Amino acid sequence: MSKKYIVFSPITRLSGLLSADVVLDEGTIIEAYASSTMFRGFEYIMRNRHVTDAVYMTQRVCGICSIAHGAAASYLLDKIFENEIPDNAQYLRNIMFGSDFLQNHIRHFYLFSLPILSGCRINLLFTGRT
Amino acid sequence: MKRDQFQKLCRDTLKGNDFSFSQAVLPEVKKYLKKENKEKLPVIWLETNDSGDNNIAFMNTTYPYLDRVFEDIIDLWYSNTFMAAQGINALDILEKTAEKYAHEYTLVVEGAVPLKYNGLFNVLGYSKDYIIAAKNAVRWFGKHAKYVVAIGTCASFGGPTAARPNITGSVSVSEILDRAVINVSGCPVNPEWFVGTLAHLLMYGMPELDNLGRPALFYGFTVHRHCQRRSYFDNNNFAQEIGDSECMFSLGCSGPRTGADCPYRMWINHVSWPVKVNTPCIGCTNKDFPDGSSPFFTPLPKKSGSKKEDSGKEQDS
Repeated sequence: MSKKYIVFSPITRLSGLLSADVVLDEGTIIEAYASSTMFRGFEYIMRNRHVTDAVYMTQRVCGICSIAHGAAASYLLDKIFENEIPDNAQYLRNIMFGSDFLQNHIRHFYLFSLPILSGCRINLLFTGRT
Repeated sequence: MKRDQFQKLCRDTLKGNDFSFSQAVLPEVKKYLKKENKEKLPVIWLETNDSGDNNIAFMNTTYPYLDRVFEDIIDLWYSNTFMAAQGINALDILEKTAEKYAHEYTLVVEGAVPLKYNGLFNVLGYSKDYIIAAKNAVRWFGKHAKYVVAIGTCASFGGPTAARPNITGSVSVSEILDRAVINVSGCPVNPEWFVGTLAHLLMYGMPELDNLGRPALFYGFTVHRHCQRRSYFDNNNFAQEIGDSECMFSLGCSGPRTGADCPYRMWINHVSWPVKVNTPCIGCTNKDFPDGSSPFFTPLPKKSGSKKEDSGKEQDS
């Protein structure tokens, strides 16, 4: 009946920093904590800025999904200024957003997931080279 | 290839439709590695307070593509984004790399470094016994590195992370390191600026830097100077609203005070750049970005945070 506390840090191959703490009780996980060990305070940075800056500034929240933030901000501006946008503009936004999804999936699968699926022997990296 | 030729190649890139820059770089690097029997550039890449946009932009490199960069130019030992190892194995590799390549490795820092609360706003990794705060890691690895490259505007000058009110107390890498730092700024960085800098480090050592510590190869001229809409500016022909084809100085373009080669290098495999798609330059390579460029749609002389002495570039009208 011994509890085991495992710290898994850092978790690599993602955008940003992440760590996980897990409590094991005889091989069963009974508690788990995920911590994102990075804080920038973007909510504070966005305050007291001109509202049209939001489209550009929010894209700096995340590098891999910047279009999503930019799109959300432009929809917000449409609401505030009561804009009627033409069909073509809506198509254009959808195409941009769609291609963002595409690049996200391709990047995630090939660069972030595949190393684990291919069974990389990660801890042997240094043997033979040192 | 002589250093002068290499620099000329970087400057003269993309005349017409000739995408020869990077295609010309790789064989040269390879030849050099073979001839000099040199190892690739060992790199430790620390990610601190930023959005991760610079490693995403770095993945977009074309000619050489990402795999060729890893294969032929750099040995990336530690990177939060790219490495296969996780957890304690990753930190183990970090430690062993720093030991084995002491005073040989290149430290790439992506993101600003928060100082408040003992740097706990950014922790690279931790265990029950220790916490590796970005502040301490950058200081320690920076001390034993051969070159330090700050990639992105956050790492170079603080950027959006250090924008007001800056509650995390973030500062640039050069502010906490007592040594020369190569600032490859941009939000995000253009992959060619970064890969070009790495290739220069490998083959010729330290590149020529401008007064803000940026490689003069890429940041030597203002965006305004080579802008396709420059003739509109010279003829006082300004856009009334977004979407007009005239000069966007009236809509808050920061081109005249931003040093970068966007107009002719362009982005995403040399396809386009902001002004070409009807949005003004927001001056992302500047020292005072984003506060100095905001509000982004207010003309340059009326911008609230604009400080000319901080821009690093003379206004060339």
